[in-house]
Parts: sequence; structure tokens; C-alpha cells
Amino acid sequence: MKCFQKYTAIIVLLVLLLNNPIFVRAVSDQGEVDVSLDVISHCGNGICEPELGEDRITCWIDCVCNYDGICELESGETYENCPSDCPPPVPPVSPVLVKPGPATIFPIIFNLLISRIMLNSADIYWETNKPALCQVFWGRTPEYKEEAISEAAFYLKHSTRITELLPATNYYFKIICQDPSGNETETVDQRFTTLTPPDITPPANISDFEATPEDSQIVLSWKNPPDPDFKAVKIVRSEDFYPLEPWDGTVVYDNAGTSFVDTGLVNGVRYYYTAFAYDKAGNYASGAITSAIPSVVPPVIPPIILPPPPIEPPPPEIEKITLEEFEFIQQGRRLIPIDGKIELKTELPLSASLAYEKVPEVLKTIMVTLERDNKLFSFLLRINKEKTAYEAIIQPPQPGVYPLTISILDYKNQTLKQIYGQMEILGEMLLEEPIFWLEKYRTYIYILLALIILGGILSLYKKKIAKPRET
Amino acid sequence: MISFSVLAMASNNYRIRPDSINVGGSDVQVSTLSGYKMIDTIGEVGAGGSFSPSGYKLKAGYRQIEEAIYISLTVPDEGDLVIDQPNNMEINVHKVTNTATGGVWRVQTNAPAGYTLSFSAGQTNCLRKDGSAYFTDYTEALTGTPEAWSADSSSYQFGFSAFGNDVNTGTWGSGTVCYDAGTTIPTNKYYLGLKGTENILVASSGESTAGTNTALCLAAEQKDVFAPNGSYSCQITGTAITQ
Repeated sequence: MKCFQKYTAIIVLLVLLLNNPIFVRAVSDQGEVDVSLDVISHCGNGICEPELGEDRITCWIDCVCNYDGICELESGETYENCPSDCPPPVPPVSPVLVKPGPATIFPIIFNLLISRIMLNSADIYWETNKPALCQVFWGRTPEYKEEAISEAAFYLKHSTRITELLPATNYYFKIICQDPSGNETETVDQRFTTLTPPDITPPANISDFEATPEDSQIVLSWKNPPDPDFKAVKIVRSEDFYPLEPWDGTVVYDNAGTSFVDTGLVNGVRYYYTAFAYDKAGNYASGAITSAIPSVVPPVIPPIILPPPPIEPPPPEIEKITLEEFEFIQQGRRLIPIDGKIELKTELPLSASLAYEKVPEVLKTIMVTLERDNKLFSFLLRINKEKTAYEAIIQPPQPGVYPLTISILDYKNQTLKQIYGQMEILGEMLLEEPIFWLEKYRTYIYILLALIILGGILSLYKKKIAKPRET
Repeated sequence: MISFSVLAMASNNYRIRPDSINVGGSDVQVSTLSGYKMIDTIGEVGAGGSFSPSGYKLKAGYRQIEEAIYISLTVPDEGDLVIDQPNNMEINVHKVTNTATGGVWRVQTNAPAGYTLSFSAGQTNCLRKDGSAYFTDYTEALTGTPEAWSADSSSYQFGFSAFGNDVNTGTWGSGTVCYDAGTTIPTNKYYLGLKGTENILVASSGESTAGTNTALCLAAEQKDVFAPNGSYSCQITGTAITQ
């Protein structure tokens, strides 16, 4: 009996242990959250852009194909991502025997691809269904007059690069291929457009920039340039000198208006202003300048903004600079000063520049000032991005003759040299670039012609008088 | 009826609850009320008084003195786990979660032995863009050991770190922000790569808590290469378990 009770207890214990484990059952809770990241990158747009740092290593997805005509499987090139280098996959051979019929006569041109269209070049790739000798005819019109590129052997895969193209220009081409039997086929007319270069041309400076002093304020007014991509004018103020850069001073105005009142000024202090017109691409004009001294009683005579004449001989490099050293260009044509006078048209912007190597490093500022109606309108020549010249683009005023002063200042704002001349602004277009020697010696030529004509008349008269005597 | 009584035992890691051996009964959950269990015995000597709330009559035994064990995990707002500091994904510059305090996970439990909090992802290389591109899981020098952030060359990688009262500072670093004022990762925060569905222990405690926060920090970097443009996402699962 005792044995029975013992074994029963053990059995019951085991059964209960299996069904009622003597340990704590764990409790849990879970939650999910989505993490996000936005990558804004040029990589992945399908275009290999080395200028942005993309190459086969940094952006494999765009630059896997290097267009060298070699199928580099180890680098990941395949027919799908690099058809110019890798052949198409070989289609499976059909097990069905087809009775041979007449052979296809004409080669077929297919998989035509225009790629890597740049500012001055474009790549063309195409294939033929059988070995063919091909030519590419291209030009700026569908007459393809520029060039004909010819292959030297028969190929299945073909490619060529057309170079020396003009930016932002439409080009037309067609391909003609001939097989060894002389059968020929050609594509329909094709077309592509080269890339447009970035806009790096600043707008013309504002014109008629005036500063009218009043009590504790100065009223600024101007005319905006007519450039179609003109965006706004940034006016920078300083109490030391004319700001030479858009960030060289306090910005008091940045908008597209034509006037502004600068308030909160101190009477008796001269304030210098430079107005930088800029376009939608962020190109800044060289700057138009003016200055004024606010006062309770407006001055009778407008303050002179022209720098004072130099008080001592300038450095030799500056001494050599004359008006002829400057380049004045309008509509792509250089305007040559004649006896210190430059003739130009009113409607077109004028570019004035001086080559960088003509002036020493000590140079800081070149100012061009036109005098009109007893007022002075000045502009800065500012060094260009390439550091090849000091430049300014000016919108000429109405027709008339304007005294011109070019002031060259050093880094201490001391005048090194002043050059004087005139601008004669015409109302009509100069049709051709004036011939230098003709312009210079026009008067003497007229006199010579007059003498020749007079000599001819006298000669005829002498002959006429002498003739009756002979008879 | 054969009855045994067993004294309860406990240690820092577990407790054996007092139970009884009798003809029936179970501690299997018979009520699905959130976070609670009803455990009963049959055939025990009644102890305590009986009560009948809401129409029920219960002969209470000694199990009436036991409390229900619960644990709850509050997940952070998804807006706290957007990796966008600094704004642009610059090459060779790490990018971190948009809040210095990270995404906060909060655990509450009355389990006397405390809890563990682990994280996992839905798959390896979890941070993906439409399945076509992904950031690889951060590769630490010593597998499984968080380290100061240093992405591998020629790769774009994604990793995480954490801080909080129950996070081991020796493992995850002593820093208490995901990034400093310059949006750079503090050198005292250590990062690890997620390992797909494998749970990675981040926080643990040996006692109950009315609420303990664990902040998750995330970082990504494209090292010497460009990650393809697009929106990447990854689902992170936090699991809190009582001990």
C-alpha cells in the first residue's frame, strides 16, 4: 500500500509539473517604428557627371559604362547598361530548320543611340545586322554640309564622336551603311542639340545713379539695365570708400526698384554707395557709384565724387596706360578712340575693359566717369572671374557728347593717374568696324583728293588752251 | 488529494512563485484582459474571505495575493527618427537623427526582476530604397561590439547607438546626446550595425520600473561614394521582455 501511494504521488507530481510548470512565464511587448533618410544626389540620374565628382567608383550606377568599346564584364559592364561596349546576348538557336530563301538584301541599322551630348561634342552609336561600312553625314541643317565621317572597315557595332560643335545649337545627321555586296541603307534624318553653356555674363550697370542729400538721409535714384535676365540691384554703403564688391560694406537695398531713401544717417558724414545690378544666374555688374553728405540745408553745389588728380608721378606701369590701352566693345566690335573720342551707339551695352597684366598688383580701383548735365555718373571696372581683365558693362545714355574720365586708384584710394577723353553717343548703328588709318587720316585724305581733282582740272585746262595754238 | 507546499525562492534573475500541487488548477491565462492573468487553483483550503463583485462569487485562496505581471513599450514618434542632420547628404560626412535626444522608447513594467529591451530590423541592410539600393549595416571592427563611428571606405552605411538609465555606458558610450552642436557624432557614443532579425540587447534592468526611457540614435554616411538619389526607409522593432 505504501509503495502504491508513493508511486501515485510521483506520477501525480510529474503530471502536474508537465501541466503546471513552477517557473514564471515571461511577458513581452513589441513596437515598430519606421526610420527614414532622404538622399538628394545626382548619382542615380543615369548620367555620368565627372564634373560633379562622379566616376565608376563614386557612382557606379551612372558611370559603369566608360564607352571605350571594350566590354569589361569584370567592371560590371553588360549589354543592358553599356550597349556601346558590350555585344547583345546571343539569341538561342532555333531547333526548327528553315528552308533557306533569298538572303536579306539590305543591311539593317538599329539601336541608334546619341549619348554624351556636351557643349562641343556628341557620341553616336548604332548597330547593323550584318557587317557594314558606314558613313555619318552631319551639319547644322538637314543638308549635312559640315562633315562626312567614314569608317575604314566593316563592323557590326559602330560608334563615332562628332566634335568642334557650337554650344546650344541644333545638329542634323544621317547614317548610310553598305554591306560587302554593295547593298546600301540609310537612316531617316536625326537631330540633337548641344548643351547650353552657363550664363556668366553680368548685366549692364544701372545708369543715372544719383544721390540727393537731405536732412539725415540720402535719396538714391537710378535706372535699371535693360538686360532680359536682370533680377535686382544690391546697393552697398560705406563711410570709407566706394564698396568694391557686393559684400564689401552694409547692404542697404536689394530689390528691383529705381529709388530708395537711406535714412538714419549722420549729417556731415560722406556716405559712399555702390550699386551692383545682378541677373537671375547671380552674375553681378561691376558697380555704379555715387556719394553724398546729408545735411540740414541742401548744398548749393552737388558734392564732387571724382577722385582728386594725382599729386605725384605714378609708377611707370601706370604712366604708360593711355585711353588706347582700354578696350571698348559694343556688339562684338571694338571701338577705337580717335583723338581721345570714342563713338558708340546709344541702344547697345558698352563693355569697357583693361587687361589685367597692364596694371600692377598695387592697383585697387579703376573708375570710369561720364559727365552729363553738370552731373557725374561713375562706374567701377572690376576684375573678372578669370582674372584676365578689369571690366565694366555700361548702358550708354542718350545721344550726345560726354566728357570721359578714367581714374586709376591704388589700394590706399590715392589717385595714380587720370585719363581724359570723350564719348560721342550716336543715335544710329555703326555698320562696320571703322578702319583705323582711314579714321585717323581722313582729313588729309580729303585734302589730297581735292588736290588731285584740282590738278586734273588744271591739266585739262592747259591742254585746252594749248590746242588752238597748235592749229 | 496530495498536497505539497513549496517555499518561494528568488534571486536577482528569477523568482519561483509559491504554487500548490493539488487536483487541478492552472496558471495559464484564462482572461484576455490586457496585461493581466487569472490564475486559479482547485481544491485548496480556502483562505481569506469570499467576495462577489459584479455578480461573481469567488472563493479566494492564497493566490489572491499575487499581482498580474505586465510590461508595456511605448515607441517614439517617427518624426524623431528621421535621419536629416545636417540637411544635405554630403559625401564623407555622417548624417544623424534630427533630434539630439534621439527616438525615445519607454518601458514600464512591474516585473520584480525587471526587463530587457532589444532592437532588430526586418532584414539585413535594412535601410533600403525600393529594394534597388540600400545602405549596408554598419560594420564594427569587432563584431557585436559598438564603437566610435567610422564608416568603411567605398560604401554607404547605417548604424545605431543608444543611451538611457538602463543602457550600459561601457558598451554604448557615456554620451547622452545623439549629436553635438555641430551635428557631429560625439566621440563618446558608440555605434553598431543592425543584424537583420537578430535581437540586439540595448537596455536591461533588474527591477521594476514605472517608466524608463531609452533613446535610440541613428547615423548614416556615404564614404567615398555617392548613394543613389531617393528615399530610404527601415523598420526597427523594439522588444521589451520581463525578466
